[in-house]
Amino acid sequence: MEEVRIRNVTKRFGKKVALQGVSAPIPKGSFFCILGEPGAGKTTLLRIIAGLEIPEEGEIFFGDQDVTLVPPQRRNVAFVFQDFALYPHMSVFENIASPLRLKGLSEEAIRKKVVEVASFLKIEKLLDRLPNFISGGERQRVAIARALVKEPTLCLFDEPLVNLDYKIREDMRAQFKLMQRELGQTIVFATPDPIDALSMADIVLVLHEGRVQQMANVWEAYKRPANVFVGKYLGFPEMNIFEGRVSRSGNSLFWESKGLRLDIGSFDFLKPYEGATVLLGLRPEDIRLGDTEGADFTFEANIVLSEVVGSDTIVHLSVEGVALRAFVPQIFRRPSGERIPIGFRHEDLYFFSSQTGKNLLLQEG
Amino acid sequence: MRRKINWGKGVGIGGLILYGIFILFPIYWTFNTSFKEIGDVYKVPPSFVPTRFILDAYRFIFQGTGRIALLNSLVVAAISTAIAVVLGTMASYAYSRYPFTPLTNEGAQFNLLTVRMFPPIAFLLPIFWMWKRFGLLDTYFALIITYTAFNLPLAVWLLKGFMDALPRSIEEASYVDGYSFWQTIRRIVLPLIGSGLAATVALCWIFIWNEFIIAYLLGGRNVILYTAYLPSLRRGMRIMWNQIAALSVLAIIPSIIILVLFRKYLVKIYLRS
Amino acid sequence: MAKVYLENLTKIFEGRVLAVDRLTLEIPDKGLVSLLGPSGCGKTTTMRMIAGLEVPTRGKIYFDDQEVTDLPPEERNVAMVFQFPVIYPGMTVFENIAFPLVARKVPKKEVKKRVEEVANVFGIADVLSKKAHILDAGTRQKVVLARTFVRRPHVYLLDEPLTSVDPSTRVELRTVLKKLQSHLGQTMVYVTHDQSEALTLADRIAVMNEGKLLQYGSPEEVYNNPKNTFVGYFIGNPGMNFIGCSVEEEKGSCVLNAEDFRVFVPDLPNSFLRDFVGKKIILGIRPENLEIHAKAVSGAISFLVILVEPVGNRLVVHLKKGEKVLKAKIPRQEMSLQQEVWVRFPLEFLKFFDGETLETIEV
Repeated sequence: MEEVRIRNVTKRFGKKVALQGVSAPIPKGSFFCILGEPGAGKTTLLRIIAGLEIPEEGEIFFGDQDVTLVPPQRRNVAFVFQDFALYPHMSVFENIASPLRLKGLSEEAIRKKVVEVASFLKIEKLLDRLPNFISGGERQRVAIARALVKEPTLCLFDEPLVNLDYKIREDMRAQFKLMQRELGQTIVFATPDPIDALSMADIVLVLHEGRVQQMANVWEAYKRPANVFVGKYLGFPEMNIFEGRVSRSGNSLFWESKGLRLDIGSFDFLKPYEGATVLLGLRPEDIRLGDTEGADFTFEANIVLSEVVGSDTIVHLSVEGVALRAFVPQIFRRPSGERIPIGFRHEDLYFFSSQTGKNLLLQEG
Repeated sequence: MRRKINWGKGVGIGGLILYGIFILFPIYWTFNTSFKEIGDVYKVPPSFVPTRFILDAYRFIFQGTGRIALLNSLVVAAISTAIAVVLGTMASYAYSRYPFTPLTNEGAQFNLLTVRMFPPIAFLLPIFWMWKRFGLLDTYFALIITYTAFNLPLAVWLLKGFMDALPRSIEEASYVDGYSFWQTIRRIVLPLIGSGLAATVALCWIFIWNEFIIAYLLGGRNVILYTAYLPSLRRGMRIMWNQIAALSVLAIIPSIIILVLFRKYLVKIYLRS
Repeated sequence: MAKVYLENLTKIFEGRVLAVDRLTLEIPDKGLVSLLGPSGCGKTTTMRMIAGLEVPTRGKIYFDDQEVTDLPPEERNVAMVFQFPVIYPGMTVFENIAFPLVARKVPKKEVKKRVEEVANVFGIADVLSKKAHILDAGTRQKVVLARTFVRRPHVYLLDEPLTSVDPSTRVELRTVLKKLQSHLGQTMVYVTHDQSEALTLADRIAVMNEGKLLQYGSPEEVYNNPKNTFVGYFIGNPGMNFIGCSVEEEKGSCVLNAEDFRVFVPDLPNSFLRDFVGKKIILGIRPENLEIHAKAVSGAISFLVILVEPVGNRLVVHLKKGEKVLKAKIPRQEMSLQQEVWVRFPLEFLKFFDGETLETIEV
């Protein structure tokens, strides 16, 4: 069932277009992720769903009801702001109780509900404290408690992990997902971090410059990105993109760029592009380093830098003057300048149009 | 090393004591004079402690125009401050939250501030003529409105700083919780700018309480404020030192109360700017 | 170039805030040492003491064999780079970089040669004649680094110099710093809260917390053999898993009882764990060392999958049993939420920490 439907929403701020013709159904009980860079329009879209902004064009439906002009007070949505927006002069208890105060509940009923949601989020010990005297992670849980206590149709999260230390972030994702499953709550979650989308989301909507790039099941979008933007953005580290020409030699097709030359004869959908420039995409995690057994393409690469990220390493490489990144899921420190064989398979390659950026494989079908 | 620090501390404390004496002595002398006999005022060497406490000067103030002048000052200052703070709160909210309308954009905000940049005397003659033409010279109304006109920009400017520091998202969270605009103002905005309101009240009050020229030009006969009354205690060659001192002592009291009550908030404002 | 030796260095602010606590550390000549720790751990204070910007409350600082504890910064011959680029506005990039040389009255020809050399290294040769303040933050930080490296001080001190720089410039500057350090043999102290930065650049890492030095060693050492639970937690993303257990004896072998499950430690050589029977210990294991099976295998414990986080071609799987949550890093595979999986704790990767001191128990 559909909880919320966004239909053809356009929003401008002065001359700047924040959203352009955005449409999306948000199914009930789903974890819906809006993914995009800062300034892509994520927050504006959330604010329109909440009723904090009114779109110039388009409608928002909650169920069958058009709520486009309904103010936030009457929408039964909850919004967790990026800065958490707790009321600094009220205790944690009063903050969480705030949405209940208008419902004409008895003091006792309010206390019961607040304690219940606070213990669910393990903050029951903080109820008497003021928001400025608790840690960032605790503040976030208070903001979530204030949202959940309302039992909203829809819970909107605006980049809630951005302001947290990465060590806390590690555990928060699991908590979000657990919470969503346990309560069956519909969640719309805006984030610039592809890992958030890949780990928590059921559906991802990729926004870029106010336009929807792709909306799909998150793994579907990862495996079959609609265009080069989604390919690059939905993944960490970013997909390698190379520009090259498709040419025929003998009875096979080749893709060539500087010193790189790949036999792409097995990709039938590339035949119409003979003589044209196309973009080749290759995910860093699909590149094998050192052991290239089973690879369809192999090269010798120079190590430029082994950049350790957490417990993993992004290896910056250079192949015949072409720079690329590979991902190794362990600490892999090698001196710059060392030579190493690399390899990858046919199915690891993505091809995009150099004009429209569209995924050529999908265009065919 | 350690010795050096102690030296510095000693010099510092000594300096502060000297500074304190320098500041407090005139106040003390006023206080001292107000209880003296008129004859003792001119005595050389002067007496540093009043020999007898004579309350004649205070009696004079309380029985005559002095009492009326002090009460007038209290009434004018209180009403004008209240108006300035109420209007200032509303205007500063608009300035802070809707800075792009023709009435609240940067230009409009700057225009407002220019009122405070010129010396009040520059406007006073036209203002004087205006009130005279309206036949409102020497009324509470004219004084209160004039003071409010001078204080309002100050109030708006101070309060806007506090409004700006208040994240918009806190208000929006309140809307999402279900509270209306006015409920949000009462529940969230006003409590959170409380210290700004207190400081603004104090500064507006102090400006009016200490002001002389407007009080002298626009009032003086029917509505006389104490600052305008004070010079009249010099009667030809005879200067009523004790009475002047007594009135001054009485005039200091409200300021002291305000300073003590609002010190915390005033410091906040000075730290901010 | 010099070796830096810190001896029992202690800094107490305002007589009560203990910022650095009896820190003894040797930074080898030509080494790149990273001071790593969360904010407030004392790493920046330590660096400021090496620079001479703070006077230690107790302890001594040596450059090679010369004590410099009481020398003011200008007599120590150190160079320092701060988090945000500090440039001289109004001056060109060339003048900015040349500034320390001009101040030392280096001949003009020599100045020109050295500035151009260092500008090439940092890839800013084409902006030398531009005004420094009109450049973007990343380029400005390159100018600052070039200005620092145009000199040859005893030691370079870098305080999170890459935090204000965009990601692509960061990779570029890391590469340059690494190159400079290995080719020119400079002694560098690199302060950071970002473990990735430390693991990428440093030869040796000094992990600090609450003013104390917790561990000092090569990145591999610090990663593989954390000396206490804090280091295990702080280094690595995700950090090490920790499970509080009590040690019990059963049929002659040791059992770690974690309440929600039990881990058997059958044939530990002359088991040191026997000394801990009846006591609390903390079992530590890195997520990549846990074994996950889709079907029951002997010695494995069943857990529920609560979150699947893709990291490159691996998955970080969050697993739950009772109140215990573990993270395992495994090759990418089909893995669904609420799925039951079996977890094995390979003996060779288990680390043991004392339940009270949180220090590692030597096997």
